[in-house]
Amino acid sequence: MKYSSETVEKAIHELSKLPGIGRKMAQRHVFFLLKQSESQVKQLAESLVDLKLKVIHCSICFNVTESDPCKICAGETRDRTMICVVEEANDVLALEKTGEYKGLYHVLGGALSPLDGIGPDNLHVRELLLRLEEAVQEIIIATNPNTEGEATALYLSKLIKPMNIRISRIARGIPVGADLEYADEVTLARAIEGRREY
Amino acid sequence: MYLNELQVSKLRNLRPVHLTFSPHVNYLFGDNAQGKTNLIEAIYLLCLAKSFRTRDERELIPFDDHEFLIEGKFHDDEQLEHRVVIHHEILTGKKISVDGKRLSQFSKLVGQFPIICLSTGDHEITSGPPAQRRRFFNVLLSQCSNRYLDDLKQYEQILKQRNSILQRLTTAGKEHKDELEIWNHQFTHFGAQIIKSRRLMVNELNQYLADYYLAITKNKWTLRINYKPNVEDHSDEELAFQFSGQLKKMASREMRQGVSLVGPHRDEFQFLVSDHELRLYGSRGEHKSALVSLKAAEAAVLHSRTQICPIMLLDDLLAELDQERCATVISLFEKSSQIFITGTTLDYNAFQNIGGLSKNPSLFFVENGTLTRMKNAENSASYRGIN
Repeated sequence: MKYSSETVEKAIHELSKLPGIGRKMAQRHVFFLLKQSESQVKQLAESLVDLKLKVIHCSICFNVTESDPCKICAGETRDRTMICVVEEANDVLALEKTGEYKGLYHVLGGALSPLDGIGPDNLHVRELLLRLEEAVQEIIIATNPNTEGEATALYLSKLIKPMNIRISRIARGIPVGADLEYADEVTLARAIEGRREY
Repeated sequence: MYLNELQVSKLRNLRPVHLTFSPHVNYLFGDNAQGKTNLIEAIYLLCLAKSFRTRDERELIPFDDHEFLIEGKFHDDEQLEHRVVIHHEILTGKKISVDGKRLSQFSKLVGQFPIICLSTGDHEITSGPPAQRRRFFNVLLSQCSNRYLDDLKQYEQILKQRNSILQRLTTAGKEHKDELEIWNHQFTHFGAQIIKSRRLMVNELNQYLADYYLAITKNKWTLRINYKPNVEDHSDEELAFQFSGQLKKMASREMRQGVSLVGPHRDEFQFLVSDHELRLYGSRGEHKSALVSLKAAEAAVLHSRTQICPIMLLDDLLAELDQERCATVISLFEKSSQIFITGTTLDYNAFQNIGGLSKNPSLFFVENGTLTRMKNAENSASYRGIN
């Protein structure tokens, strides 16, 4: 059913383009916004527009940032001998939350997927290789543990190996805090495959 | 394990129905095109989350409706009840829940409720193209191990990626050649896993096949399966290595043709009756007996691997085999498994006369999408009178 107000209809239409939001959800958001004060809605709208106006990609690591180079690349306390390679910028955020990693990042902008027409030239691989000519000693490949992520990891490791840099791949297996008996067969089998020696 | 209750609210031509089944033999009878196979399909869906008749599940939605809904209650060997609900709405898609918990992946359902189905399209397993035989093995192995299903899914995804590179290579030239190599590593890894699993499975089926074939045909011929993996190999350890060696050899041909030419997606399985290939030399009767023996061996293997007696769906069994052979097949399983058999009314009469059903089966009469449970065998006699 369509609403009599064209403005409402348009807002619903735009919101429902967002991932994970269907028409019903979009309707609820629109009616929520209608009840908000003008200043609150303005704040939201401005923050959305700013996304496109102010946010850029770091010219070194391709993370999203407002200053170039980004805070991580410019950080004085970061370990500049390590680079962690990830597929997307939100992977940086996930890894940063751990507080464990003190090195630098490199965002590829996706993973190899010939089906989607994504080859090495469509990823920020050349830029990564250029960075390796500096003082980098170790690379951690943190692409996703699916077929595309694995292929990308393998591709990178083949490229980097001759450069005499330590390469590692993040481990995969049982989630922390989970009991073995509740882990599904496949995860468990893959975890055994990727076991390590003590 | 058996299906105790089935509630079909909407599915194809079936009227809403709530049935309780016997843990042993259930006989569904009625004329053609009344809905017998639709009920078999409903049970199959509850166990494997897919239909054996169609890939497009919208076909299962009744005309003039927008959803289908099936609910089943299984009893496991400890007499615990498990409730499976499948709901497919045309807009939101399919949702499956087991014991009230929504499944994130449908593949998680596979293997929880092992099932064997003999349907009219299955004659292609012994007589049709190799893809039908690979499909048979994929369904069986997936029910035995989720690991196999995952290996297969990954392999198929890599195969798609690989083919898309090859296609580009044929048109655009050699610049993506290195890209192919990146995918080969995972391709051979998962491919080798699949071949190993299939080889083990063929060996296990062969342990039962000859005996069942003998029991069903009562002649001296033997039946066995010969696995012909597309990758030539000598031992499991060297398999991945052999695989990549063969890929290298075929590389230029693959690039010319633009498709992957090596790997388990091109495997073949031969059925041999006394060392003669059934597909080429078998009579219609031999095909039928071989198929039924295969299903029997499938049930035995599934039982030994999962420690659960599978449910047997025998759609139109009597159309496939003569009465005596049917009786043999049923006697092989009625002690351990729950069996669903469909047939026409006439089939059932003949069937009873030869004493094919030692235990009193539960009888269901199917007419125009409506299922009615008959009180006992006598009642069906009155139906016979009408016919």
